[in-house]
Amino acid sequence: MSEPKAASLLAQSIPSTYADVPAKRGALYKQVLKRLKNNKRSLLGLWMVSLFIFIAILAPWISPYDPLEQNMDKLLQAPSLSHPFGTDEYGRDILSRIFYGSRISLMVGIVGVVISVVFGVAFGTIAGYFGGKIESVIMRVTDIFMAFPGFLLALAIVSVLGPGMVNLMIAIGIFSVPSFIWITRSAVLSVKNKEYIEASRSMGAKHRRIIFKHIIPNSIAPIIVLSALRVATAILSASGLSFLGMGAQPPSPEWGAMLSAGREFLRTAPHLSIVPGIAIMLVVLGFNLLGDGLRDALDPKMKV
Amino acid sequence: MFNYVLKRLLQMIPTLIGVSLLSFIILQLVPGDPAELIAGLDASPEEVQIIRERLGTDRPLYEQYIDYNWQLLQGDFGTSLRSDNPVLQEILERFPSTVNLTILATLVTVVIGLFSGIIAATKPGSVRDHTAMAFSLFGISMPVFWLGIILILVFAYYIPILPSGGSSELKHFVLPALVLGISSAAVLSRLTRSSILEVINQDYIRTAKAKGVRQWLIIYKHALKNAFVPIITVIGMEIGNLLGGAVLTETVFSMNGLGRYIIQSIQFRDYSAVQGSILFVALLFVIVNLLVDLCYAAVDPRIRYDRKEA
Amino acid sequence: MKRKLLEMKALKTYFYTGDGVVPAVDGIDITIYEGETVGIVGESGSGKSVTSLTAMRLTPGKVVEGSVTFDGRDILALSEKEMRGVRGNDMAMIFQEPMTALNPVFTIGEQLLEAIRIHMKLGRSETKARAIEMLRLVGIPRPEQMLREYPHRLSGGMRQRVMIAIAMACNPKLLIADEPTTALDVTIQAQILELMQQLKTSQGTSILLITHDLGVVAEMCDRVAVMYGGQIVEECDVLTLFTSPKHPYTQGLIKSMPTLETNERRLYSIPGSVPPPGSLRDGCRFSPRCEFAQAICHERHPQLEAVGAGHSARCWLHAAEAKEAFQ
Repeated sequence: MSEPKAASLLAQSIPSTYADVPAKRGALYKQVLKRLKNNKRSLLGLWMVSLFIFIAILAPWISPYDPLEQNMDKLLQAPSLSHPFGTDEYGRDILSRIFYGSRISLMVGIVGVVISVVFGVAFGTIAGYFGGKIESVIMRVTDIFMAFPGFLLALAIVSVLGPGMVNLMIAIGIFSVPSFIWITRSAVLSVKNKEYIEASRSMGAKHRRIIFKHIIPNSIAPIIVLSALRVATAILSASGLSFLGMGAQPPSPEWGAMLSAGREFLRTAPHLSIVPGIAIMLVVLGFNLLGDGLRDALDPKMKV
Repeated sequence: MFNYVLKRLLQMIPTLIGVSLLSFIILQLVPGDPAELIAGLDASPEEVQIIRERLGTDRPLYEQYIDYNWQLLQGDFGTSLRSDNPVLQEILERFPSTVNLTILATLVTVVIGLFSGIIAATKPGSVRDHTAMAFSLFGISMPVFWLGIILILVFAYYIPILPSGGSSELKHFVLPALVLGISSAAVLSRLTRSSILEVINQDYIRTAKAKGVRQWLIIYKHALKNAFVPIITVIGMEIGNLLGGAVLTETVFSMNGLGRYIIQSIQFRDYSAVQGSILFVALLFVIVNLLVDLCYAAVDPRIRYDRKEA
Repeated sequence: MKRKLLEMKALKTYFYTGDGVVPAVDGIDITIYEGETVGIVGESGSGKSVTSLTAMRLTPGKVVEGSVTFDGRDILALSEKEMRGVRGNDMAMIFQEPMTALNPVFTIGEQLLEAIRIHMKLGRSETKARAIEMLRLVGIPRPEQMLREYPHRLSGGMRQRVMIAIAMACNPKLLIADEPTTALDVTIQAQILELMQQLKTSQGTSILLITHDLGVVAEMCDRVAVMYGGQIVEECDVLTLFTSPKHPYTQGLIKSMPTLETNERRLYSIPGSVPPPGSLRDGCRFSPRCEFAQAICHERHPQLEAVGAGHSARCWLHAAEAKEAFQ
């Protein structure tokens, strides 16, 4: 009984404009966790993502075969007990290749998005916080990047850099930078003029301190949501580029590349194409569910 | 309205310059000397020098860029290194197929996406809402090339009613348009639903109800027209994605369109063709975005007036 | 005696949210006679808006108990189709926020004509003539031109006039006005109130006025119900309300009105704030904020009882029962 009373007294003594500031962050965090737990979709997403992360980490131990080991006696076998997803045109075990392939897809997706977040958040924060000329230059350049359909831009980048994993990650990274710039800038703009930031500025805080202590923590929610959704897009695009032969190269068990190689045998051994596609879909679905759930938990009205 | 159109056209100029700069830079990033690439390994240094002069790559970059723009303005998108034909001519030969594919796919997108979104939004939380949203979640998570392969498997191999590839007749376009359209429809459906749900809680919807307007008129007239601005945005964005996605779809269905041309050019290291086609698609996308903006203004009077007065 | 137009009896509208049940309207009795203006006064969260929306059957909450009778018809039993025939036709509504109550993407004309088209089966030109007549009636200059304008081109006062025109277009028997002047400038407020008063006299419309502003009540209403925590705590004619309010909450509201005569430096304010709906407790709902609260006020819930002719209050201070208990 005494506790709420004390809290309400406290609330009265603090001007209301300060009431929604950092002090409440702990409570907000708890509330978000609770809402996440109550959201079946996001839990399912979290489970799916965790499952794939586990598979990626444990691939060497849980794979029944070496993903690159060829077996000329067992070409293009249909799914069976010894090869649950069958074998490919070199007699390699598809299940093992799918397990190892999750390492590639998750790495490309996550590293790619980390690249986008680093650049996107940096430029977005600068644009939003400082405004003026810097902002218009950054936003103009962003507009230009956005004038290219994203997938084509990534394709153009890998085509000049040459195929390969590193170039694939760079291309995928650049592909998402504009959307992170946009989202960060608008998040920063919406908190920039809040009273607590003006207060901190009036007390002589340096730009760096204001940005890292106040602006970024208070605009992080949409960035987190966008990151989860963008990992999904990145994995999808990376597999598309690999499908076109622009990403991971043949012996590597990349799902898109596997699917592309399997096309030749579509009539006789459709599982070669179907299975990697399902793997891509499930991991992408997991990240999409997680992103949706995070948005619902953090702020259902968020525009991401 | 006229002023608004004029203003939007002027605003396009910096974007166009940027787009040409970016596509120019892309070619500069190609490792190695394009002249050596064209001349081949057994060419003499003199031969390479001649090609270099012909290409103009011996001159400073800014001069090359100005030249490049000048050529673009004259409709010269460069010469294919592979076939020696003008790139624009090769693009235009393949373009109709891609346009047809994009239009059909957009149709599929709008029909499926808009209606499933509306159906979901009219009864949030209902079975049909959950079903529609589950389908669209799968739709956005599915790789287009995989869906294409599955459809080929089903409709060309198991129940052979449609061709698995080609681009000469209408029936060749059915599966590709479905594939591209379904993935975009998933995006549009989610957005339509959330836009309508947002609008439906607005005061003016309550006003309409208080006037005694029927439920379906409230959705289709009062809510939908307001929800149209975000919906049009996504349709515009999806048309861009369709142009990009055509690369994958045309490859899967062996269609002789712009997307496959880009892939073939990349495989042959025909960089001027790659540069020209990507620039072409970007220009197209800029035009689509302009049309989207004009649609906004047509739908929402506030945009027309505010811009004019600002 | 005049005819009863709207009668709500023991009405309860509850909201079922993720956090539990919220009894926004918790047992309301209110009657509006023909030609009368009844005010419902209360702070935000007292349930006054939900009461008015329930009459129109537009509340997202659920009516769990009670009845609403309008013009001899059981509103709660009507089909959705029949209800649409009532809304905008016999019973019309205007809202607090004229900025958002009009659809931004349709012209004024389209929105006004729509209401007329739905309920009055008139020909094209008659419909338009009616629209122009309505705009003129609510004091809008150049009505023909106004039909082609979009809402964002109008000021708040003009938009509220348009809202009134839409509401009055089909000669409703009852006009429900939910905080019609709250969002407007003071001078515009007076104009809008005057307009409503005029229309009431000329058209014979009854008005249910929802407001938190006692000044508006004094100007407009014949009878007043004061709401607190989803219930009526006092009901009487407007004169009695200002001359001899019984309930401490009503007294507090009146004391907190700024007047020219008061010499005090600070305006009175009722201590505490409205409890969020759903956080109900034993005893009188106002007791935590009441300066006259006694033991019984915290323990038992008072009933609405007559304290004079046409005057009732929900307070232990005035209940006969309370007197007995404490004598």
